[in-house]
Amino acid sequence: MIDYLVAISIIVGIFAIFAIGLNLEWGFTGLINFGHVGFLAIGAYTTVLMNLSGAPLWLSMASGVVLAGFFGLLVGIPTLRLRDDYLAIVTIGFSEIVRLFLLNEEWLTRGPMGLFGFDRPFEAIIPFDYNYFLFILVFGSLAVIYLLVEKLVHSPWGRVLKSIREDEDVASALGKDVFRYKIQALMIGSAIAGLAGAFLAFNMQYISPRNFIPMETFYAWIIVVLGGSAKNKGTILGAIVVQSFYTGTRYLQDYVPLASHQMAALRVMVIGLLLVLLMMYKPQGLLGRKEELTLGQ
Amino acid sequence: MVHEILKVLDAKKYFGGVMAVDGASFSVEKQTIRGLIGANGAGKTTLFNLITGYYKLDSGKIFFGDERVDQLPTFKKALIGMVRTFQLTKALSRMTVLENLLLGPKIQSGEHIHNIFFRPKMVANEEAISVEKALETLDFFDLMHMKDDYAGALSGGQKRLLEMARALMTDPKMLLLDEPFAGVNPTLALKLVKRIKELKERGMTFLIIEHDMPLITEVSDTLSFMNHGRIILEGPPEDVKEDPRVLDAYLGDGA
Repeated sequence: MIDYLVAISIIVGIFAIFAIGLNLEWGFTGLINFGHVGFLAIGAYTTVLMNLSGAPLWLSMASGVVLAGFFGLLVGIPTLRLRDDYLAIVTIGFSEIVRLFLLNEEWLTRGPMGLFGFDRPFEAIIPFDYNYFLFILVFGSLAVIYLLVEKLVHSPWGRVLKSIREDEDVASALGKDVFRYKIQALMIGSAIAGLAGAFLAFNMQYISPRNFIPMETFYAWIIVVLGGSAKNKGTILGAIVVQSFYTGTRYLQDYVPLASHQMAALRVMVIGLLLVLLMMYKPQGLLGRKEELTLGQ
Repeated sequence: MVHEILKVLDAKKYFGGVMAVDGASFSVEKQTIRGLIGANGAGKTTLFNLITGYYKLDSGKIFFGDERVDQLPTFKKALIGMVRTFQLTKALSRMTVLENLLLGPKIQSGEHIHNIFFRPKMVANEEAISVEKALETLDFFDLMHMKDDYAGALSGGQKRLLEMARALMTDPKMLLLDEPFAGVNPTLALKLVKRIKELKERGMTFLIIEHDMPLITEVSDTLSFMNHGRIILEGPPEDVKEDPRVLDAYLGDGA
């Protein structure tokens, strides 16, 4: 039982990290990133590919994080000067390009076969069940990421992000280089997604392009909205609710008289229903502030 | 000797086939208050948007001090001291009133990520100074009691005050105010007029769009009258407001 809880918790932790990256972009800066999973994939594949080609694991992970952030820059440069909706369109396209690249460039990624056989941090020297160690590693990282992002959003820098979310014309009228801040938010959010990608690979010990479908982006969105946008604690709570439900119910299969594909559909339906109910009765999210919704723009 | 702080030369802006600003030229002397009047649709706000860089000029030139600024992005103009407010107020709704003001100061080391982690003391010190200044400003604008409320909860008039307060936090050389008195109660409006004159004495320059004739006459040193995208009349407020073309635009059925 405890092993089972640890396994679920690791997934919760990874998605919490992933969604905190999105919360920085959407919750605090107002950027609509519909391609967050693309950065998760870059982080995961870079870590794994570098390690498989002989690089030490810490370097591989660092490269994954940096490369994900760098792609945030590449996607941001042409789009962040444009209206919000362009970013949404370009990012969703970007994440699909990444996935299709991984699927088709078999010389590099082995395509649909996926990648396995890579190292995991300290795996050789951990004397107990490795999942326990991974649990500590993921939650330790989550704590660090949470504290760093909290520090950032409560700084003058974070204040500028919020002003951009509210009305970027005001931010420029006050002398803020809006473009620079948006790029920084997107790069940091993407780098955080890259880190989540590395952990995702360690947890699954196998990655393939199937792990990086657009739906993963929307799980992050559900987590952020459910928890309450611009509340990092809410994001963590959202990750607990969504992923423990989604992953937990996977094991209920034996007790429910439904075929596995029906069960899978049912689980998504319940999440959808949960969101609808939330929007009806607590539209600000679990930890959001209700006053914010009633303010005239 | 009179020194011009803002000079607009033959500014033109089309929207499709419509000429919104049709060769407007004027200049504002340093440390003066210039009123800009004209009927709705005369091009006043478009002219503001051109000066502050929200729109790009189709032709013409704009100088701020000795520097040509028509190619500069808005935020750079703000950094060299040209700051505006908006006709439709833009309170940053989901931020507190105090946070709105704290955005103002131009040099904030805490707006750079590395300083947040490596120079926390410097960031904290600057922040304390900004807070003090913000509280003084809020006190003047009668917004002190709202400082921790969301800006979106303010009334229309209060949002206008908030905008002016926020703009002043940047220590501008020149403030461009788009209908600063609309929706502000008469007592406070007079207080604002007084404040604007005080700020002028301390060296600030103002360009103000306003429809309230008594107030704009009271506050301005010079009035410019805009019609069909051009400045067609300029002079002492008392003269300009009696000009038949102005009377016609405001009282008659226009042209």
